[in-house]
Amino acid sequence: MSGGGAAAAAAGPLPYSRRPEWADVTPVSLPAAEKVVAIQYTAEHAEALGYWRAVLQSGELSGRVLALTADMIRLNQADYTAWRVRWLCVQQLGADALGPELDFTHGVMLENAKNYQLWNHRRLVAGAIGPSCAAREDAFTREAIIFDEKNYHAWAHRQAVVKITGLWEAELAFADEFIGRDVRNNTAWNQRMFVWKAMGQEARLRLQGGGDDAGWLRSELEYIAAAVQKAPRNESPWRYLTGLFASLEPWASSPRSLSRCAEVHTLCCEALNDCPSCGPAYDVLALFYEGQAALSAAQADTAAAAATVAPGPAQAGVQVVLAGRVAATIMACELAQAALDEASVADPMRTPYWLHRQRGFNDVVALATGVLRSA
Amino acid sequence: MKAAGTGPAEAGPRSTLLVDKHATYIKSFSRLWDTPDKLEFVATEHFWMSGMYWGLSAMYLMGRLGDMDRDAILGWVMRCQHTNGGFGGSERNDPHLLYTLSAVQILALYDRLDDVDADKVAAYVAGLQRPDGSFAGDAWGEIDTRFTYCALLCLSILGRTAAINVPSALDFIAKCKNFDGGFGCTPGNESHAGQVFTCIGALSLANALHLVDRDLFCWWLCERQTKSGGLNGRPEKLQDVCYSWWCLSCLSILGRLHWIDRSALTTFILDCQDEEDGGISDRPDDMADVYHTFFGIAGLSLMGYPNLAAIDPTWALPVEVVERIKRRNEAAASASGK
Repeated sequence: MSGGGAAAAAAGPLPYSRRPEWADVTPVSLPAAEKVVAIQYTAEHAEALGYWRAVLQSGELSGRVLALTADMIRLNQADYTAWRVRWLCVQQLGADALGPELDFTHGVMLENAKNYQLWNHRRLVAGAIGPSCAAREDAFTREAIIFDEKNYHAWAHRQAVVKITGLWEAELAFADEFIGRDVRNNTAWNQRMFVWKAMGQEARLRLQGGGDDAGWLRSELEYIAAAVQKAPRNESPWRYLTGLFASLEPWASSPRSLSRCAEVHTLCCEALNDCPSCGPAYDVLALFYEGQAALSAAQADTAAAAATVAPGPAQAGVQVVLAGRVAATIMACELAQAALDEASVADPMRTPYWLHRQRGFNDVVALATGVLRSA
Repeated sequence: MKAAGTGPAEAGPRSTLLVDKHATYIKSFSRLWDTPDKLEFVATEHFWMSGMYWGLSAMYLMGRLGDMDRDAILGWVMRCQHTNGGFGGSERNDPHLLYTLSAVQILALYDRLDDVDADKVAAYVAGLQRPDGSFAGDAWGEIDTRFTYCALLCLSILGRTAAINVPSALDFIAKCKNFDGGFGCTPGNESHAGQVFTCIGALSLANALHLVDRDLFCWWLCERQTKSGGLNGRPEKLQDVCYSWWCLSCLSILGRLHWIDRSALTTFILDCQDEEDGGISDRPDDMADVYHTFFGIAGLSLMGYPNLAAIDPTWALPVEVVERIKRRNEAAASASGK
C-alpha cells in the first residue's frame, strides 16, 4: 500500500522546497509566540505561506511570485493582499503578461463569480489592454451573466468596458437581450438607462435613424408598455418609466414632463385594464395627476396675477380662465387621491407610504381655492 | 407538543430573541484568531476585523459586551495595524479601509480611541482619496461608494474629517445616484440596498441629505419588503436578513421607518434564528453566521425591540457610544481652541 501513497504524493503539487526556482528563498515561518495561536493550515497551505511571507518581506515582483499569488488565491480567493501583489507583478512583467491574466481570472470566475477581487483585477487588465479587449470581455461577462443574470459585478464590468470601447449600440442590444430573457431583470433595465444617459441626446436620435425626441419617446414608451403587459406588477419598467422623464434630456429639465405626456396616462390605464390591482400602475397614475395638479395650480397663479392687472373689460375673461384652472387643479388632486386609495388596497403592506403621498393634496386644494377667492 | 395553529405561538422558540443563545454563539469568536482550526475560518481570515466588529456590536446591543475577552481583542486589533496607520483584516493581511473602519469602531465600542494615533490613521485614509472625490479601498485601487462611507465614518469617529476633501467626496456620491433614487457602487451601476446604506450614511455624516430625493428613494426602499416580511437588496431578488439593516438604517436616517411593515419584518428576522446553536442566518433555516446575527439584531434594535440598546443608523454603533464619541471630539476641539 505504500506504493499507492507515494503515487498520490507525486500526483500532488511539488512542495516549494523542492522546486528549483525557489531554491534561493528561505521561507519565513511565524514567530514562535504567534505559532501557538495561529490557525491550523493544511501542510501545503502552510508551506506556501512561508514563501509568501518571504516575498512580501523582500518585495520581489516576478514571474515566480505571480505563480505563488495564484496558489494563495486558490487557497482564499478573497485574499486581497495576494491580488494586489499579483497586479504589481503583471505590471512589472509588461504587456505580455496581460493575456494570461484573462485565462487566470476566467478560472477564478468559474469557481466564484461574485468575488470582488476577481472583478477589480479583470478591470485593471481590460483597462491596460484597451479597446481591443471588447470581444474577450463580452464573452467573459456573458458567461457570468448567463449563469447569474443579475450578477452585479459582471454588469458593472460591462459598464467600465463600454466606456473604453465606445460600443454603445452593442451594449444596448445586450441589455435588450437580457430584458427579453427575463423582463424582471432590473439590472438589465438599469443598463439600458445607463446606455441612453451615457450616449447623450444626439447619439440617441442618430441611432433611431434621425427622428425627433417625441418619436424616440414614443418608441421607448411602446417598449415599456410591452414589458408591463408581460408582468404588470414588475417594478422595473415602472421605475424605468419615471426615471426616463426624470433623468434624460429634454424631459429632465422640463418640469413635470411626465404629466405632460398623455401616453403615460394611457399606459397606466391599459395596465389597470389587464391587472386591476396593479400597485405600481396606480403609483405612476397618481404621479401623473399630481404633476397635472401642480401644472394647473401654476397656471391658476399666473391667471390670478393677470386678474389683478387686467383692465375692467378683460376682467371677466381672466376670471373664467382662472376658475377653469382652479377647477382643473382640484380635479387632478381628487384623481390622484383616488389612485392612491386604490394603491393602498392593491398593496396594503405599504399603506403608510400611500398615506404620505396623499398628505399634500388638501393643501393644494386649499391654496387653489384661496387663489380663486382672493382674485 | 405544540398544537398546530397560526400566529406567533406557532413560531415556538423563535417567537422571541434568543439573547443567551446568540451571546454564546458570538462568544465563540472572542478569540477567533487562536482557537478554530476549521476551514471556514481560514477562508474568512481576510475579514476577521469586520467579523469582530459585528460580533462586538451585537453583544453591546444585547447588553453582553462584558462576555467578550476585551484585553485579548484589543491586543489583537492593535497587532493588525500597519506602520502606515491602516488596519488589515487580520494580522496577515494588508491594510484596507474596510478593516481600518472596523478597527476604529471596535476601539470606540471599548472607549479606547486613545490607543490609536488619530493623525496617522487620518493620513492613511486621506491617502486613498482620488481626484474625483472617490475613495479606493486600499493600495490596489478598487473604487466603491462603500469606501467613501468607511473614510467619512472612520474620520468622524476620530474627529479628523478635515483631513479629506468632503465636498468632492459628496460630488462622487451624487454622481452615483440613479433614476430610481437609489445609489450604486460607481456612477451608472444599479441601485443596491447595501450601497445605498453607505451613500446615505456618508451624506448623513456630512450633513448633505438634501442631495437625496427622499420620497422617491424611500419608496424604492420600502419596495424592498417582500411578502415574507423580509427585505431584499434589489428588485426581484430574495429577501435576506442583512437588508434589515441596510434598508432600515436608511429609512431611519430619513425619518421613514414607518413606511414598512415592521411587525412582519420582526417576525421574519426572529424566524431566521438558530434556536439550537444561536446565531441568525440570511433566511429561515439556513446556516447562521456572525454577519447576519449582527444585522438581524441591529435591525431589531432600530425597530425598538424590547431590551436591546438603541443603535445609531448612521454610525452603525450604539447610540450611547456615538454620544460618547461626540463628547470626546467636542472636548478635543474646545481644548485646541477651535
